[in-house]
Amino acid sequence: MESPVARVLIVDDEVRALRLMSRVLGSSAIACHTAESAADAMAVLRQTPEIDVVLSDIYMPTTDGIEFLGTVRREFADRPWLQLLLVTGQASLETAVAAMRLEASDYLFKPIEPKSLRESVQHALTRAESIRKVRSAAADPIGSRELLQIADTAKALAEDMRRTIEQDSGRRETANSGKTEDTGLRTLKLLQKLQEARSSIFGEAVMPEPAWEMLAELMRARLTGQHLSVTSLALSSKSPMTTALRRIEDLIQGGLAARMPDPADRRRTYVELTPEGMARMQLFLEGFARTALASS
Amino acid sequence: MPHGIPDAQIPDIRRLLHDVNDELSIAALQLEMMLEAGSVEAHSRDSLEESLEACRKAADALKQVWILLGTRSPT
Repeated sequence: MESPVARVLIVDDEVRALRLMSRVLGSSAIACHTAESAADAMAVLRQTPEIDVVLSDIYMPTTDGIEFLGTVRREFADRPWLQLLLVTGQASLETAVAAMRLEASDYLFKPIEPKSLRESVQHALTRAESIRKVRSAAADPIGSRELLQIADTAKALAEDMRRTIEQDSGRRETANSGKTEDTGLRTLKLLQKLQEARSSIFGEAVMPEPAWEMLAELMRARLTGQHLSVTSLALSSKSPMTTALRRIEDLIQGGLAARMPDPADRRRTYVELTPEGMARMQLFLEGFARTALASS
Repeated sequence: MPHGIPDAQIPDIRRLLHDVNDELSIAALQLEMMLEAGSVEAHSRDSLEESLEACRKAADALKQVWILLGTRSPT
């Protein structure tokens, strides 16, 4: 079996700590490079552009970890996906400030628990991968144009969401009657674009299946004044019915969606976005548009 | 020197505390890995868990000493 590409660099002057942390991560199929000094670590980073995460002890007798990580940020400013994880013996204000300045993903306290180590590194790897994908799409002329189009549509939809939320204070019918065909088309266009972009740009971790499809479908229904039954919503997710129904329950439990009785037939219920769900989708679209525009 | 330790000695004491914490961290991580492996017998598991608990308590006590000394580097 082919061994996984090492995307993590662990820096610690203590060889036993290096070996143990590598073993912990290795047991979760996360391969690592190791370095016993800042100089070695810089050499590894220069030679290995695949590295996404640098995990470094802050206090080492011959190396100031904070200074080292600051140098990494400066020297590898062209690798904004690099995630820094700090390991420290003790929580302190200085450490917290240093972590913020370095835009560190996380910091871990000794003694490190294997579970925390794996989770922090995995989270950092996922973040790095997402940033790499957005940048690589933006670097490609076609991808960049696509991103800009998606960003424009997302911005327009965020504006529709904002207006709908504003109109939504007790005037549901009025709000719905104000929907234009443009909104429906825009929503469909965006959903299509996001569907295409999701796996190539953002990856599963950012928009997990099938809850994302259902949230998007709920948004489309809300903006175009349609009512969605549980079954229609589940079908829209293109997932097995039992999985989709579980996800609908998750959305309801999470306060993003709610069951509403159908005013025309009380025996039937439909599902719609709650005000919280609406607000979150608006925030998401605005954030998406900002990220896409910044990358393009 | 509110804790009765001469200021000049505090950096050395911090360094020593850091070294002790590093050693404890290595021991704790090693024990965690052995326990995770799941191949230890029940009585050995109890011993390992007790040892791990002792390491964690020692690390907590160290943190208290650090706080008494003040929290300047090394961190």
